[in-house]
Amino acid sequence: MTEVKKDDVVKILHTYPLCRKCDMSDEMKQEAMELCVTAAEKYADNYESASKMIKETMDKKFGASWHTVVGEGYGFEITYQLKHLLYMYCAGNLAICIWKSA
Amino acid sequence: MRFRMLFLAFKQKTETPRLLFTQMSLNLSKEKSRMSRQDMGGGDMDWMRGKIHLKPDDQLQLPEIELQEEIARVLMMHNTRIPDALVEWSWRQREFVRLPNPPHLVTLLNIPGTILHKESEEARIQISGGIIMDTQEEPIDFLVERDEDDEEEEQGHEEEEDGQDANQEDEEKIEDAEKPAEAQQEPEPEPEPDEEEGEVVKPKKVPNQFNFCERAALTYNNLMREMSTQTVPPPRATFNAHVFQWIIFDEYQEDYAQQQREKEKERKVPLPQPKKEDLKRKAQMEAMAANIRMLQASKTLERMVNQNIFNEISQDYRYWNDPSDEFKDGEGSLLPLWKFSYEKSKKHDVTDMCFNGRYNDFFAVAFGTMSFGSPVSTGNVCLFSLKNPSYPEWICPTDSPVMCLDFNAQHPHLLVIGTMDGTVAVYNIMLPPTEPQYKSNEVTQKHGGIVWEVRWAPDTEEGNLTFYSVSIDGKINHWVLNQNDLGVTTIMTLYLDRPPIPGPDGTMITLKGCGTCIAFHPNDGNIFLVGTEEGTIYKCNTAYSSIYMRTYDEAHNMPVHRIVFNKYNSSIFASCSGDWRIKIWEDERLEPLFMFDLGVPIGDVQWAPYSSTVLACVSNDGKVTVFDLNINKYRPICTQAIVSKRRNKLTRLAFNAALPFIIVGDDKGTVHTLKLSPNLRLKIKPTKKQLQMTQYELEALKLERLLSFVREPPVLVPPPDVRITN
Repeated sequence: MTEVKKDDVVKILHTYPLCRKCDMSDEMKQEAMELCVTAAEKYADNYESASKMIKETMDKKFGASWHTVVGEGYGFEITYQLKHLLYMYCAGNLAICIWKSA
Repeated sequence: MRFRMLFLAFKQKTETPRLLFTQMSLNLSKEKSRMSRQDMGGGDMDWMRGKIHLKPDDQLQLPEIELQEEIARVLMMHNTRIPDALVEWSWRQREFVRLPNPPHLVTLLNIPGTILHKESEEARIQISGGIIMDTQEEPIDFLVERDEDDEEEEQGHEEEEDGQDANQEDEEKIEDAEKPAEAQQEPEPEPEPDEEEGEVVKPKKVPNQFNFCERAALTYNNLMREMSTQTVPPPRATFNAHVFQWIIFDEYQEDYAQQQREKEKERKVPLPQPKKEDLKRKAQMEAMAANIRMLQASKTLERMVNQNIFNEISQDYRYWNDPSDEFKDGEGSLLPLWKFSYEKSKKHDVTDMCFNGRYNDFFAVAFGTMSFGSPVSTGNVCLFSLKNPSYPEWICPTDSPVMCLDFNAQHPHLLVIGTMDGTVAVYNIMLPPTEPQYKSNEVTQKHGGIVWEVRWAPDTEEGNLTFYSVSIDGKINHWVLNQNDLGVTTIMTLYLDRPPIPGPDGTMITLKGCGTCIAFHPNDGNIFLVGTEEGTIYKCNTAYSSIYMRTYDEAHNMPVHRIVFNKYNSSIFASCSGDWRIKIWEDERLEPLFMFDLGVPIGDVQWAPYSSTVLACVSNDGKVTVFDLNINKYRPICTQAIVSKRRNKLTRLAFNAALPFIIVGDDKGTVHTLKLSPNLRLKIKPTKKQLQMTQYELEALKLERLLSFVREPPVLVPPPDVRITN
């Protein structure tokens, strides 16, 4: 019985947005996360378009020089302006990192 | 005079070239000047006398006749220097030809003007608004300034034609000179001829069109500067991570598990209720604090207003001393100051008054009733401050008329009261006057009748506060303020020394005296005196509850109203009574030393705190009477009616411990403040031998000396011990 249960648990694939690291203000964070989810849903098959959309929208809303990475597997080391970083998972298999650096 | 003439002569000589119009005019002017000289002769000589004229040493001395002589000079327009026979060689005639004589005109100064003559061709064209077509210059007349030589002017007009060539040359010079300003000035002064002619209504400025100049200025160019600042770059940080699918999966799992745990926790622990009550309480506290501040501010304002209203009284209280005292031979007077009353206690009697031990200007007043059949059924305790005579600082209404009160000396905020229904209560006057801190039990503890006097007593060994009360039911109770309640011990019951009388149902009743006042020995806290309705004074000891140390039988014939010990000699005490008498007693002596009969019932008597021989009393006829035994052993030194004899009675009196005034209460609920005049508060002056003694010793000595006159027998023999067997 216990094994069956464990299997059930393993099968669950979570798709909710999960924030891994963020030092934005609450307002900005909420808006950025919503934006990321929308972009990931809209361009589910084209990460380039998704990242473009996120970057451009962030530039419009919070000033220029935002950078965005959308992908399933990558590694990065970035320098960002404090209070302007969001690293989150989305849709179960996407990692989105957005930051601002002039 | 001579000098003047000489001066004139000089003048004539120098001026001759100028005065060359005609011989006639010269003569005229000379006559004028002579006349004026004669006129001046009389008046001028006065102020000129004494003047010394400076003259050169080698001045020519002229006789009178020479001075009077007239020297006539004639100016002519004939130039003598002109050559009169100029000749020229003529080649045509082959001979010398005689030339015409040159003109007599000599040009001394020539200033070319920039003005056009109004009549000239160019001016005419300008005035008519046209443009000068031909540039050829017409000969123009110039208005020559009068400043120049007259001669030149005359000749200029005469020889206008001759000088035309010269004028043309002049005009060319004018153009070079370029003086536009002057050109515009001249036409203005001649508007009248224009109007007469009717050609031009308005005088127009007629400028010479060749008179102009250009002016230009070059300003500085502002310098260019560069400014720049460098700001601190925004703070940065680095961040790195790896993204793999399994990492994402693991994170999701962990987060999900975390969420599940939190949910379970929430289910288990319901959120604690927000502390609303605490918040409310806090808000209330804050509101109260603000309220208290507001009250304090308004109280300050009230006092300021009162100070202004009663300014004159305050000044009197501070500075006015009856100046007539010096001539009154020991007699004094009382100066009425403020009156204190409380609106709701107008029908009450002032039954007791007591000054606060800490604040000299602060006293408590008990409002009750003195008469048996009075309709008054409630009482009041009010605290007054001299700083606010219009309204009490603290008002405590009670269910029963208040008959007595006392401030604690060590704890000036504690006030004990006794009421008509036999209750005693202790108030803390720092708290609002709603509830007493201690109150005797209505059933088991209270007195059986009016509590006539309460007095604080020394603390118990445990440190509890205590007080005594004396009541009309014949009991003297000792009260102890315990943690939560009042403990009571009856230390004395005033049994009369009479056989018991038969009661209604066959029982025998022992009669009890009705205590009306009590006074504790200042030095021995155990010994006290009790006065009764019967007029007897008992000397008692707290250690013995059944026997009297001494009985002053028939001390008075009516109820004793007050017993007070002298402040300087503890064996001397005074008592007053309704039998019109004040008596001054010595301990152990059954006969009074002094006795004063005032003819009216006496409400209260008090020793003065500043003197051993001064005592004051109030009587039913509304008078305050002050005795100084040192000054007069038989008569008072001051008797003064304070209130109307018919309507009011005075009931109580209190000395202020430090300040020179007393307060007296009447039966209309009013407290009068009276300032003692200097004669009533005489300080004893030490003799040379007594210089090192303190005032206290001096006062005690004064009283002792006085008593030595009246003691009879001078020394008391202690009575033999008697064995009491019962």
